[in-house]
Amino acid sequence: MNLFLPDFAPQLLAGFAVTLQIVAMSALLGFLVAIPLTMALLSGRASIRLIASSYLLFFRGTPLLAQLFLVYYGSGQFRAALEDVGLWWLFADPFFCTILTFSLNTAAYQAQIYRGAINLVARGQTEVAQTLGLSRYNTFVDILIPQAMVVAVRPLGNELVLLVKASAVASIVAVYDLMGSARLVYARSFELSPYLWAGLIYICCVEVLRLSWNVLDRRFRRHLPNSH
Amino acid sequence: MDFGRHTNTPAIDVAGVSKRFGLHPVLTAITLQMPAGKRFVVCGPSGSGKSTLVRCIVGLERRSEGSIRVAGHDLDPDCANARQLAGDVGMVFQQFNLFPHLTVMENLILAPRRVKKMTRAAAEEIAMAQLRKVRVDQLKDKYPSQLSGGQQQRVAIARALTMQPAVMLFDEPTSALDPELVNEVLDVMLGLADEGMSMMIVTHEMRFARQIADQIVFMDMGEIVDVTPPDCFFNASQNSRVRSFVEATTRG
Repeated sequence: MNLFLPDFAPQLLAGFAVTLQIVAMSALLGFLVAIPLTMALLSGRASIRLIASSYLLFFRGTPLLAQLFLVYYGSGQFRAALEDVGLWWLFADPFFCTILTFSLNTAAYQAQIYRGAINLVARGQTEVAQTLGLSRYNTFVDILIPQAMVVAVRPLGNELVLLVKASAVASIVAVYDLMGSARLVYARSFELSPYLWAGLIYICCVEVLRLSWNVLDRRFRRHLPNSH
Repeated sequence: MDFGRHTNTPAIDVAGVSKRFGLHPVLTAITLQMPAGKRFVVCGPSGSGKSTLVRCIVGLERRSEGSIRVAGHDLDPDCANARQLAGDVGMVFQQFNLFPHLTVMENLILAPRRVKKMTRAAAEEIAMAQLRKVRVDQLKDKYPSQLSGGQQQRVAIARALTMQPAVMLFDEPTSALDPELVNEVLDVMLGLADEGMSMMIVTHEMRFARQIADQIVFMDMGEIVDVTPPDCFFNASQNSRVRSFVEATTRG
């Protein structure tokens, strides 16, 4: 083992890998949920908009920790039913519950970002698309989404950073992510340094994410007016 | 479809059109016929309903009453068939509204390819001809943000023309431009007029109106006050509201 690294480094790094896994999977699954959710938020039907905005109200209005408890401990209430449909093994797994909760949660935030981005670019663009005869579908796919994605890059980066930090919540339900591993090491040694190292890794991770996101953002914005 | 251009069908036929926002009337009993191949300039004080009229004609705003027929299409009261006007009716906006994520050429060929299902090569050929006409062909690979306002508006005109419309409507096409860029856009429009395009133009450029218009439609408070040839409009109008508008806009 390297002189400069503490002997618990392997545990922390394994935990960090779990953290990255949680963030990557939740962000990706959340994106898949966010797409139909955004469509629903922009729907012409008031009833569909109401359902979608209730979803947002719930997931953005309550603590992530409470949502995780609800899924992890709450599913225990329905153990019999879940066993019947053969899904209990999933809900018994804290890692699965974490991914499920985080995906649903970030989907709400992402959908809000996409809705804002589409509304921002929609002005004028949908009108001209109509006078050119472009269908609603083509207006969405060829005009609004490409521009909205560019607008959404920056807030999406923020959401990713928040997700990295929020993922520490998983350690409460016995997932050995970065925070969970630090807790484990601490519990054995009562030394505070694993927490300091974990904090350092979080900071490095967030900074790398932030800086690479800036590069991405600048590349994407090249052709947009008022881009800096 | 080329119609409206060489037949006697009016390019635009507006009959008894009214529009209210809530209780507030924006257009009141507008009746107007523009024969094919003619140029009508719509002017009047701001808030007189000029833009709303043009936007109703292309189906961007719903009217409260009346009927609209443009380039041979009867526009549904709820504008449900507005997309079917495209191709026969072109619209140019004050704010250009180019697609910022697409190059000039891509801006032009998107609708012909998606709506008319043209091949890329066929669409590019038509697009190139239109870009030459508005003299921006050398900019075809640029993005809108790399162009001046005048160039952007000329591209917007070319984009509308690429759908080969029979009627073109312009909603204050030079109002968002720096003064020194106005003429290059007006010149393009004069060129279109020379080709016999049916055009309805909302503008505050009075000298241009005099040059291009067959008839000047003067609107005030949501009503058409007067429809007269430019000579009469600028020199000998019987209408006091027209006279005071002309005095105010041509002074100095």
